[in-house]
Amino acid sequence: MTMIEYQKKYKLWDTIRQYFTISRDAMIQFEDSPVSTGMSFDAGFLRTLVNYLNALYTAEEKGTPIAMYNFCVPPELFYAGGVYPLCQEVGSIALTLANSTVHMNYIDKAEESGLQREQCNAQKIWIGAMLQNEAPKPDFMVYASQPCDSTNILYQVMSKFYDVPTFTYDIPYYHYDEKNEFYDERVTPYCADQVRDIVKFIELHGKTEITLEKLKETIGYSNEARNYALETMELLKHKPNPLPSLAPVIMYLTLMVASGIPEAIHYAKWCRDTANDRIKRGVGYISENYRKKEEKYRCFWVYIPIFFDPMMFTWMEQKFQVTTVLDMLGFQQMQPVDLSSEDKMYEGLAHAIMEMPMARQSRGPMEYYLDDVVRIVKDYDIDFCIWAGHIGCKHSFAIAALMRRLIEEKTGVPTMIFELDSMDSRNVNSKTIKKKITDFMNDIIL
Amino acid sequence: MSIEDFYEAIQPVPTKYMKNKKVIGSFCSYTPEELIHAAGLLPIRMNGRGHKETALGDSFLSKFNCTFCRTTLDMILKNKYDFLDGIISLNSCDHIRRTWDNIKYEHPPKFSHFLSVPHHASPAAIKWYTDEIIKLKNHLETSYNIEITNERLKESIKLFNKSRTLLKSLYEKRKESELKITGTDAFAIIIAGTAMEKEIFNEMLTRFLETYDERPKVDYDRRVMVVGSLIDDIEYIKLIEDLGAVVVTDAHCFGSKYVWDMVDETKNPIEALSERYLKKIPCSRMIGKNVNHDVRRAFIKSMIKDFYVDGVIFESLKFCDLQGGDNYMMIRELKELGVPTLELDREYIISGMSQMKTRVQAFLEVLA
Repeated sequence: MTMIEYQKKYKLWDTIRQYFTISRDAMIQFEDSPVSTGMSFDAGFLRTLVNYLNALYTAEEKGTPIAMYNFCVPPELFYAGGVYPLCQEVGSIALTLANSTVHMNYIDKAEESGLQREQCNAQKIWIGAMLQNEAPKPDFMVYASQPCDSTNILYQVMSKFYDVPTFTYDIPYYHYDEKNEFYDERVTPYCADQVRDIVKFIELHGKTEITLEKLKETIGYSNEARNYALETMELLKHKPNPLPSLAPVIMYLTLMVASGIPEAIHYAKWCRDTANDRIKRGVGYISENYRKKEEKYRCFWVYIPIFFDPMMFTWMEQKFQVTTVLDMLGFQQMQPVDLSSEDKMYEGLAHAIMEMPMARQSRGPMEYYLDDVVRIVKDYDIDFCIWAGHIGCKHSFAIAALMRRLIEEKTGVPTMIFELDSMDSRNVNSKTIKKKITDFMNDIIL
Repeated sequence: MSIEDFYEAIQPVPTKYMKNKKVIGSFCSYTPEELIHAAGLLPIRMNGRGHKETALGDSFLSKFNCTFCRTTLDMILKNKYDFLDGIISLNSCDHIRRTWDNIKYEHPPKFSHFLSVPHHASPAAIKWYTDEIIKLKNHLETSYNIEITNERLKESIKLFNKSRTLLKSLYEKRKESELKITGTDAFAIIIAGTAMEKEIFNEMLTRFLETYDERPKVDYDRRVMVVGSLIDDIEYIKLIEDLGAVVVTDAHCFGSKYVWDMVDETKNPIEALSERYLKKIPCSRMIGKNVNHDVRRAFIKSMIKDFYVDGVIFESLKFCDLQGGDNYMMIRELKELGVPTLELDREYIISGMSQMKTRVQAFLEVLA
């Protein structure tokens, strides 16, 4: 395929950087504010994100190799090799969060070039930018076969356009955990060997050496962050919800870019400490943030949040006193990686890949997903579920109707399903979604 | 042997060819059918030919799932597949994988098995799939109280290879400038092979090939290749040929991708099956070093050259992310080589034929 000449200035990256730098500067003054002021999230997240965005330019200046990866690959591996970890989905999602129309232009360009309207915009945004010469170019790529066909094929497209060495990682259908009904003893060695191969691949194409010590160091940081994340998951079971509805997904985004460096720890720790603080004082986020209001209902957002309007969660808090305790991406279950031996480290990383939010639920049989939803509904005392089905995710939509019935049978909790494109408001806009949620609340819940 | 005999086999299920044995349906060309045959069962490919509704399937799958899955699920839920003794499903694509989740809960067959197919064809992946085939073998043996010996399996492999050889010789004849078979008829023959006993099919095809030269010459003005994912309805081919072209070859999972590669008869049969199925001309789901887009492109390029193809029609089932993405790359690459291409989005259940006809007609005019 024809090579694209890339410019030094990348509009996609610049747009994100500009937006989040302004946000960071606005938030930074509140950084040390007490929790009781009801901060929606800590400025530390914005600082981490802006540092991450800036680091790409530094990498370019210094000639540090850039590795593009999809959201199922642990960034610790790249940090251990001193390679810049360019998470493609973070670029596409962050651009959508930046609430500009730039991402829509990229979607249009990708579709004009022949990609289908129903293919996932988490990759199409980037491809549209590539076609405009407005996206950074990696030196090599690493991506996994799952959680969806869209990732699989659109990474093939990006690899062809970039024409760079690409490592593909095969995630199996079965489970590594002996307690799971789909357990298969082959899964761990099959995947751990591939993680070893990723390391060799990074060493070769990143012109670097990944020592065990370095790997231990980067995994050590993500382990600490994961421990805080797991503690936070436990604390979210408290009623009323001690954290804002946006907190879990922000933690997810932080871990996507910073697992492997100390900055990953900051936001997860803030979530843990903030939740603990409110629980000790016997208050919830809603009562502390909105006067004269208490948490009335607890929602589980079964699929990915609305990236073009993340404040939908906030609107639900204000309008119905609903806390969205968790969303699928915010449900962190990655266990710390055992650092006691080289083999254990690779096995732990292999498990981490399968436990990445969305890969955890979507890579295999429906039961992986169903078990999580049922467990969350029961453990977190959820009143209802909302399934905002992203049109790019055919695997999710295909089981929504069946799962709604099974969730109700197993927990008695209703699920509302509607379609949207999480990255493009032109498909279904915020106003329409709010109307649907309002109707659901009035007809079923209130 | 008349071509009509093959057409009998591609009627809506169950056909008269599905009456003599217990029938096992499978969703994908990555199913090692030889093993099912060696268990004394009849393997057929799931299809929705002749079925015109998806309403019940739609109540489970979404409108963003492909109509092949919605059609077959609809049929299963309406008991139209109750003649099957079992179903084998795979993680071929998101649509099929999730269709299986729905079947499992809503209409579980008597026998069912799921194959985890790797996306690679590395030695580790081949070992993985070998184990999967062994698990299927054990499951069939216990469920049907039969021993699948190596000898039985080798016999089945031989039979299926014979079928592939015969079909490839049919493809060979379509390389010639003077054609004695239309693409529609050739496709009917190939599909028939997925829906009947291979012993009977091989016999029928052998006799057909023996009389091939006696067939009248086919008039055509352009030679076309059809590329896609899942096409099992001859009407799509007929539409192209009714406009004066002839479909001389293809690259999709009911055509050459099903037929092309042989199972090595000299190797351990299960390992040979694993190797053949993982290393065959790859589906767009495959991303391994030796089974990826480059391999698919090389295959299509060789087909274009060998079959003297004037233009390529890419058919894609709506909402098929995998094929849609692969077509996207392939069309750009073929354009760079100066090969005329047309991309047609379609539904599994035939619809919008007049619009499709207009587009094909315009394409054929460009070729002229």
